[in-house]
Amino acid sequence: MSPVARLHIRELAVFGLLAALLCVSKFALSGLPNIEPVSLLLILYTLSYGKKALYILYAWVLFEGLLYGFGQWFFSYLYVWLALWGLAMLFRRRTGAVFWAVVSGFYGLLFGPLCALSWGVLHGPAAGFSYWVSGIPFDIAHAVGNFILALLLFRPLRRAMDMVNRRLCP
Amino acid sequence: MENAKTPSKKKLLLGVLALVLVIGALIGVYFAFSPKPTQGAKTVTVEVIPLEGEGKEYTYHTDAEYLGQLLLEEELIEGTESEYGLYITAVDGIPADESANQWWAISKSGEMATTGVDTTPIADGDHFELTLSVW
Repeated sequence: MSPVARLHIRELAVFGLLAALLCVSKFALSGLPNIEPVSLLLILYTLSYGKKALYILYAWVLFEGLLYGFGQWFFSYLYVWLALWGLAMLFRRRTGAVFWAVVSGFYGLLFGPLCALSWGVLHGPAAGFSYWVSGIPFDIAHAVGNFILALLLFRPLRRAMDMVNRRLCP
Repeated sequence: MENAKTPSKKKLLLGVLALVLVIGALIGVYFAFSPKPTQGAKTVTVEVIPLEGEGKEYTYHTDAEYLGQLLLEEELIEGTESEYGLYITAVDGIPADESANQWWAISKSGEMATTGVDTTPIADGDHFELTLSVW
């Protein structure tokens, strides 16, 4: 069995809680279109756990599917958040709040076109392009929200994650 | 030490600037390519397709610029306001049963709409379908 597949029982418990945190925090801000803490939290999880953060990510994606129904949106969720995980892995050594605010902001702008890919595959390129264009205002709100949340909360949440890891996942 | 920090700050500022510029570019793309309303009198047909039974087709002569505006004026739809705009709850007196995962899908000449009912512009000769769907 590869190292990635082996999880300590404490990691299983902590990862479950962290996936639940993604659900609850997203729901808490669901009244604000495309303003979500999932991007920042996924970045922090990736910085802390690397490849193992995928367990948390896809536990959350599965739960979202169970909660909201496995519609077309679910297929885009299978790869859209993987892109953010990949970005976080790429820059895993960076620690600055401003840096991650910029990355998170750019990801907010990327979210729409990434989702439009699945729309384009199902309904044709013109429909995919139209889907993306009509969602641009929401993508901009997503980017601004991501930027501000990361700028304000990256450091305190990083400290909290480090504390959790020291105590629960040594 | 200061020289080692300064390039990093410059890069961060460039990153923020790049983000702002890309947002500006996207705003330009949005205004260039988003569907535009047309003013003046238009003839539009709206087909209501329920889950069972035959559909009905309605023809309207209107000055409305957006589909939602037209359908509300003609009292063909009922809806609730959400953060994403008007959400259709009933068409032609037929409600969507949320407990059965039903919803009213909007399409134009057979192609699914990518905008909400109140942000879908209408033009002379357009044909819309409102289809009761299950997800």
